[in-house]
Amino acid sequence: MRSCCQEGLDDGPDFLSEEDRGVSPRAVNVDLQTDATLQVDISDALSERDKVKFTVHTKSTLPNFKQNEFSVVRQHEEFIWLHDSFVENEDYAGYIIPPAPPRPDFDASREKLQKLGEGEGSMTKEEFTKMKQELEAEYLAIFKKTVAMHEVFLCRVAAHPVLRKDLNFHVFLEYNQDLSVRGKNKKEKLEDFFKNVVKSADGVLVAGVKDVDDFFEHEKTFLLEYHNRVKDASAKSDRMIRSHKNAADDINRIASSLYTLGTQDSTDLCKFFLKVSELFEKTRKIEARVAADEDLKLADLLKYYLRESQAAKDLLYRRSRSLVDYENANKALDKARAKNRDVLQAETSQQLCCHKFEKISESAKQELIDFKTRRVAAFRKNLVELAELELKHAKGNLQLLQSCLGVLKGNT
Amino acid sequence: LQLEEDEAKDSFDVDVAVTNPEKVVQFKDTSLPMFRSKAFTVRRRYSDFLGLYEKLSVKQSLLGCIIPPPPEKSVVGMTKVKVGMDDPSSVEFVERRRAALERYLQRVVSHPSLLQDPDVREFLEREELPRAVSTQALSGAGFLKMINKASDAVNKMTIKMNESDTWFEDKFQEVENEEQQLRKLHALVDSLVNHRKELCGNTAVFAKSMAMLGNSEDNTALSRALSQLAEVEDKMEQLHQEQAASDFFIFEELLADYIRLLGAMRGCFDQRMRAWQRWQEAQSTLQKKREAEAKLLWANKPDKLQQAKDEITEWEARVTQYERDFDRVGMTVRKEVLRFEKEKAKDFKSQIIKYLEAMLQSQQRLIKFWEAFLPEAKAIA
Repeated sequence: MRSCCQEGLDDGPDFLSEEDRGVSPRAVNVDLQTDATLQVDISDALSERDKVKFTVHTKSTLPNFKQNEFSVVRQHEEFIWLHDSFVENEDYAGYIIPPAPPRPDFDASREKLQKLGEGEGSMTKEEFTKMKQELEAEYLAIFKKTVAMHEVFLCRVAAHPVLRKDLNFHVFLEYNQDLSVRGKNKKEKLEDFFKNVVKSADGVLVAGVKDVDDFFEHEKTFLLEYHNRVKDASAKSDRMIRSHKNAADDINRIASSLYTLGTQDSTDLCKFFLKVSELFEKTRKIEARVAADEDLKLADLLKYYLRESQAAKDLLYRRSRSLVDYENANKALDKARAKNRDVLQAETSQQLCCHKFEKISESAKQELIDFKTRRVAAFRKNLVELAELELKHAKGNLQLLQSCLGVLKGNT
Repeated sequence: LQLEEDEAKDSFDVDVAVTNPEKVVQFKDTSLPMFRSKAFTVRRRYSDFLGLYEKLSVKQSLLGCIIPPPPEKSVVGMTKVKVGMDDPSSVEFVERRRAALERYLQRVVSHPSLLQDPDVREFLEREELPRAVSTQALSGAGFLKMINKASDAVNKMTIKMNESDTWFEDKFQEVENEEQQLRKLHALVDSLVNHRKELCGNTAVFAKSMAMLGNSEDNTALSRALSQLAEVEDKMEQLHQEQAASDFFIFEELLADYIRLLGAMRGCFDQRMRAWQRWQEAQSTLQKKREAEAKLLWANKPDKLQQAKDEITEWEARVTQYERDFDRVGMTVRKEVLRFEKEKAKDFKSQIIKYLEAMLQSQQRLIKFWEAFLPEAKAIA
């Protein structure tokens, strides 16, 4: 299935909140200062059968780039390549690496559209058209979300004082050929898996060591608990919102059924049914928007902070590992001094470890403070917007019900 | 048509309410001068309601009346109640049964002919009723079987009825269509009820997880806001639960009632056909008797002739009677259908309005919850 999203993604289906149309979704989950020296956004996106092509658009006054404004086309794998290059770079060990955007997943939506096509014979033309419109809207919504998530990743990198200068990042932004980053093969995926296993085993080991520094001790305790609870909240918000969507879908079908009843005849009762059917049509559109807004402001927020808190945890693990290295180097130095052998070597090694540990600790502290600031700001923004949207929709519903009841009671 | 004029003067003041259904049902009503007193209470068992229905069916349906059917038997539901289980589904079942019995009685007493029926009066007034037997036939499946048996008899008729007036045929078709539509709608509303209950459960679970998240959060203002959000979601769960109850008790049960009532209406159309069939059969029997008489005349058997003449007279009377019955049933059916349609329109309108009003109140409360939350969210710093 091909779907094309043109400039600014303006022509959204009417069930997405007005906010998301035309306004860059960049600010949704993170509160970033826009900086004239480097601005990145995804200006266009194309969905083809099994991949999505993002047009990454850059505006910059930095001398590093050949032009002030340029665009390239990137696919999901290239974003992952960039993210992984940050993770693997020792110099960035002391930073929270912006979490990688999740893979675009249209499988469920595509399956539904396929099922609809197969079941075309068993429903009326109106029902089919209606369902098709809904599924297409759903597809479009998923599409917009994946664009937003890829954009947020780039913006976080661009806003980071150190990462924005990364060479790979500049290549990613500017090099207008394919980066030839093929997807990881099975062997590489296995390697990754084991790397993660070792990391978490490490983490468990290291988490047991009580930190001398109160700040980090507190952060460790906090992040471990927070991450788990965000994970839980995220999963449960998804389930809740799905039920909400299901209920809205039912109301849609009820509206159609009432319409059929209403068109059987022209009695008073039939006119009544038609009016109620009309009401339910409008009401369910609002309910669908409520579910969509809850998804954006609450579920997506939780998902994002699930990933960010993991990235923060990763930073703590890296720091802990460097602490272990430092402590080992100290022990090695003591041993060397005791044996009076390879002392200089041990001293150099120890100094390197010390330096690395201190560097990481310093930047980690700032990163974690920034993380908290960002988190609080993002939650504030989204919770306020959530409440405002809930109110807006409820008032809309209320008005519809009041006016419809007025008409229905007046006629009886 | 003067039938419609007759409808206008029907207005009643009988109120029936059913309360406390815990194996025994008691109700009270305020009523017309024909009853002993203005308000009284009697205790009835569920089987008594079924017994009443059976008595009415036997008598009244022959005349073409639409007898409201009572709620169906439910072995599972009743067993739970008898065992004394206190879970929400048992409570719901009891309430459902109570409301359905109440509606059933209200329909019976709002029917002008049924209200006059001595069995109905006895049901409403008599202190102790003899235990109703043979109510086996009246479970959901049994009721359907009864209706279908009547249809089968009609289908087996060899002589096709020649309707001079297509009113009956058209109406019957309409009824069948409508029943089908209502069944479809009923299934959709049932789906909605289930999804709302699911939403209810998921919201409660989500509220708890938000409360936990709020506890973890180390920024004080955000922590408080998250706890407040958890409380809002708790209140939303309450709202969803009430909405689901409204979906079910007001909307879904309305549809279930009318699906059964339309079934009853189909039954009375079939009764008319049987009356016609009886008349036709009598006519053909009369014809045979006349032929027999002619044969006897020719064969010159005077002793048997008198008997033949007597039989002819008897069957002539029957033919006249059955023709009259058929016409009367036809008229009753027309009148009943008109009355039913009026009742149905009134019922649907009032119930759906009630349903929408419940939705409206729900939205109003929702607004209050979020309005209380908004300043908390804004206070995050």
